[in-house]
Amino acid sequence: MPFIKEILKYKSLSIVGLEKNVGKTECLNYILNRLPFNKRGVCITSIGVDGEKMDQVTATEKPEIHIREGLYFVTSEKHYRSREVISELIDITDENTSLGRILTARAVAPGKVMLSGPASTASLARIMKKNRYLGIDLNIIDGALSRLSSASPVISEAMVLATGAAYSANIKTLVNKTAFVCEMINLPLATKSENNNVMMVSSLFSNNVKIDDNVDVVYINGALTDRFMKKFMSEKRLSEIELRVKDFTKIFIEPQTYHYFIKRGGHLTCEQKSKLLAVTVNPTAPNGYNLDSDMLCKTLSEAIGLPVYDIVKNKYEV
Amino acid sequence: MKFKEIIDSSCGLRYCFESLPLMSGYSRHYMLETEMYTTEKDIKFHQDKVREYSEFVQKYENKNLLCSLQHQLSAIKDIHETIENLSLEKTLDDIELFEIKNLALLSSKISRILAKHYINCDISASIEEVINILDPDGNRISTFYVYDRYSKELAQIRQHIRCTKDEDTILKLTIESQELEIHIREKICKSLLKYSKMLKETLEAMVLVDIYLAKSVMNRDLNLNFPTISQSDNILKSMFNPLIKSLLKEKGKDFQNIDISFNDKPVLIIGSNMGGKTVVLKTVILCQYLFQFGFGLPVKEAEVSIRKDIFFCAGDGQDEKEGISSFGSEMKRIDEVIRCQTNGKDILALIDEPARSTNPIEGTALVSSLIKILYKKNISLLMTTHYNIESKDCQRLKVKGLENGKMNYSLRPSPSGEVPQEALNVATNMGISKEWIAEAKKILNN
Repeated sequence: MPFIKEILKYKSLSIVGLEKNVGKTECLNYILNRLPFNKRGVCITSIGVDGEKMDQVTATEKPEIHIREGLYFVTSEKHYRSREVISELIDITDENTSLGRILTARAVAPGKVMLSGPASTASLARIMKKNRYLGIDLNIIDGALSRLSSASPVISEAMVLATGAAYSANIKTLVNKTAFVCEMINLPLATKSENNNVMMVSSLFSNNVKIDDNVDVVYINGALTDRFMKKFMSEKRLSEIELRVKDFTKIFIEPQTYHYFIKRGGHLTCEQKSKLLAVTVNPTAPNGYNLDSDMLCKTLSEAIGLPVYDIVKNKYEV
Repeated sequence: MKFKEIIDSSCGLRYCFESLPLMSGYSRHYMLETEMYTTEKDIKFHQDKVREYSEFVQKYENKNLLCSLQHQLSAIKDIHETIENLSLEKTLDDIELFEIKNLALLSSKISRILAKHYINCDISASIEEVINILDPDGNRISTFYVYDRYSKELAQIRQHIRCTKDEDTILKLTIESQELEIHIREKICKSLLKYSKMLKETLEAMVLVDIYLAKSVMNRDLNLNFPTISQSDNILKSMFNPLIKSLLKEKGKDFQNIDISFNDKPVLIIGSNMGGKTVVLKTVILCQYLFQFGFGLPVKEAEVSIRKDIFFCAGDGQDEKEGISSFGSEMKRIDEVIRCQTNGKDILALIDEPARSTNPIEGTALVSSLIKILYKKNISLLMTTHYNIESKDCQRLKVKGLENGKMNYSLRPSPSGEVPQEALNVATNMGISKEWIAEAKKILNN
């Protein structure tokens, strides 16, 4: 039963898929079916809407989210009314969405539910904070499609990444693209020191940024863009300056740019990071393309130095 | 007149409202929708209620009890629509029943806390019956679902669901149990129906607890006091304007408290520019509003009479949208006072420098005639002006003005009609260019 014990060490976990149909919900169900609920309160929530029966974009069948007895879940009023689970309503928050107020409930018997969480990370953070007072020790966030923002260290301490043939049907490209995301997640933490001369820069307004000779840290206030990084590389003292971002969700650069940056001697660090626990793969793409699962797991694992699982094929015991 | 209609009048009422530490959003909404109290009975009732809470606030100032009570009150939610649905014999869903249960538990808890301190918050004892209906297990926890205890059949189906692994069976059983739940909810709503009126009153009572408590905390924090209710005389002793006081405090200055008294005879406030005449007017109107909405007043002690209509005509009301100049809109607003059908004794009108934007000859005539008409109608009038008004119908108060280069804002009766001519002195003190002032002086001396 891979990485379940690891999860129990953290207070919050996000599950992020790099693309639609990469098996994120399968991964979520895998975790939910195996986590012990008797000792700790576990709550499942999402950013945006999740748990629908049909995929709204590719019209393929989607796995539904199975709720076990004792699991807490966060959803909106509308989806709570149409739930297929017997549950006890615990709390109604003041967070509003287009589907009504957000509420927390606990399953009394097993069943299924559509999850719809708050639309912003700020209100998600508020709900998770409130959940702690309701006796919930672990919040699991089901991220929305290709949105890494729910995995931001501001929200979750740990994360599981789902990738697969839907992201790229070529094993080499898939491995490279996934490995780059993992590399960004595992960026070294910034070394904080009082003596650092930090310069705050915003990528947006950085056309004519002049970096003074005594600056040794450039802190990107907001998103780090590809354009900024290319400009930054022409800096003479590149290897002496530390380029710092808040966390990996703020990075929007191409792998090639980053690799060139590293080759030229640049350092990129982050202020906060989440712990990447594992990577799961779905070798099947919605268009029917099928990759060799074992080979994919092996190559990817070698590239990122982390265990990679195909949880559907291997049918790990409950 | 509703509170929300006057909250943005320029007297600083918004500041007082923002200082009111209401705990729930619904109380805020309720306060804004409150109608002005116009009877002695109403005002007395609300004042007495706030006094009860003031004792509580003083006693538990530094204790957790006040905080914990405020924390409880923050959970008040606006569920009047849910209660309305209940009274219309609609079947409520889990979310709505949860809200009702929460309200019942909350009000029972708060009324018990308050009862210990001899405050009665008018919550019916039958609220316990509502709780019993919605909490058959007697856990007294604010969560809700259609509990197993409501029906043996339901409990059995649920037990089945827990034991089955087959998904199709689970789905079938879940649908079965949901149908049963609907029947049970119908039953619950039927038994709750007779309490719907009581629940509505409970929600209002909870909001009032929040408002009374907030008012008493505000009385303590802003140093407000309740006035006595008088029949005709109005006496405000050591009056201050909380907004202006706080603004001055930021600059490290003090607000000079003002005494003022008036009755049915028109009062004319005269004095030099920047002498605080408008501030006096604004503070008097603020006091009147606060009084008639059951707040304490920013005074040391006071006697205030109750009015049915209050008019406040101040500032530059230019309205380009309607194509009316500042003079036009001012005339229209003052005309409303004259046309008002209410008995003159029940009207308080405060007018800031009427007809200021026209020529002094016609302006003086307009103001003199206005005083005459309002005096005849017996309307209580407070007015500031720079015009020389020769009228026996009014009482004249003068701002003391510049004394040894310092402004003295206190008011004193001034029997003679002459308005002070200190505009040039005031301008000099402000550092206005000397060239201009010298030229003006030259013209005056000629």
